[in-house]
Amino acid sequence: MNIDLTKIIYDKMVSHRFVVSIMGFFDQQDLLLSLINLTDKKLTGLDVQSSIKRKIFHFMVECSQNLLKVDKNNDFSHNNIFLIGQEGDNYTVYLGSNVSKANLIPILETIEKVNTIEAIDIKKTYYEELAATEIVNQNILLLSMLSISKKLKQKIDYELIDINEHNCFLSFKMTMTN
Amino acid sequence: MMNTTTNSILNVYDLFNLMADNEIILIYQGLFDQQMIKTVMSMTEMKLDKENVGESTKKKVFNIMIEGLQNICKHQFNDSTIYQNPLLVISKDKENYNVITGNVISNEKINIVKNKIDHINTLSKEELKEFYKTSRLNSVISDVGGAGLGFIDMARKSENKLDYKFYEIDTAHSSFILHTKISNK
Repeated sequence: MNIDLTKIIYDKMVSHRFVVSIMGFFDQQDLLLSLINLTDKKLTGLDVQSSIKRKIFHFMVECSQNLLKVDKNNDFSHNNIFLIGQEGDNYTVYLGSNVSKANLIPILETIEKVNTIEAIDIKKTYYEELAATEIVNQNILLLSMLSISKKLKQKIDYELIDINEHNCFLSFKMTMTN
Repeated sequence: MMNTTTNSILNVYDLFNLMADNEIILIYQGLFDQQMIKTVMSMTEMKLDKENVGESTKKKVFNIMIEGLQNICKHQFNDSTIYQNPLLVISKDKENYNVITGNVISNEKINIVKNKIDHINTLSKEELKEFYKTSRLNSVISDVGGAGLGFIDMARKSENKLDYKFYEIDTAHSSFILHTKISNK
């Protein structure tokens, strides 16, 4: 790797106005806390409302827990990406990871299920799901997706890019206006 | 400026690809504080452990990361007019692990930094050791809290020349990218 390549990466990040970006091996407990602390500092400096910050943190926690838990044993999955970009008053948060196709179907089914629920019914469905089953039997992924949709008042925005016959890149995205 | 078309998820995937193609272990771009330093160190350690990297190489990578990150912490700008956060990249290639830092520097400081690194790069291992000793004895803590020993230490620990470049941002500021190689013996 040479310096000019670093400059290309740096330029990409600067041109996209990434407020915070980290790519690497995320599988550890204190990373999220550090990222949230740093993101908090950075967003506070940019005068972002606390309600927006709370939504960003909620999205970070829910998405990262799902992405990281689903593919713990996939060696190729250790490259994860977390980015916050800024455009005027809009903040866009991305969280992406390599996911094994074998683990993909339940995730996509859950996302699609949540995205077909009318906005007005999301909260109700969330509490119904929460109350319906014992904690050990709860569908954590479904609860998590419902929670994101409820909090952000948005459909779950995601994209899937094929990498090879075994893996794909799954990325969640949310945009908030300050 | 970012726009929704250019900053699509596909571009995020471009970055992901860039990372995979160049065996990048970690990229962090954002403000650094002590907690974040601890976190990136720990992320790197987990990755190096997974790859069974020797203790000596690991120690060198950590020492150089610490020096680089301390430099960043001391010199980072938190200025909304400069939209360029500090950068840390850890990568590997066939023979080396690479620790790369990027940060904004005042143009007026470029010559000082350049002369310091160029001088260090002319020194042999023994000369570096001697230069470190004399620099430490004669050091004066600067207004940003450093005695200027970081580059010497990085050159000593890595046993390689320090590679660097400055890229002008505007008439007052430039990006300073410092690349240190650690042989993976």
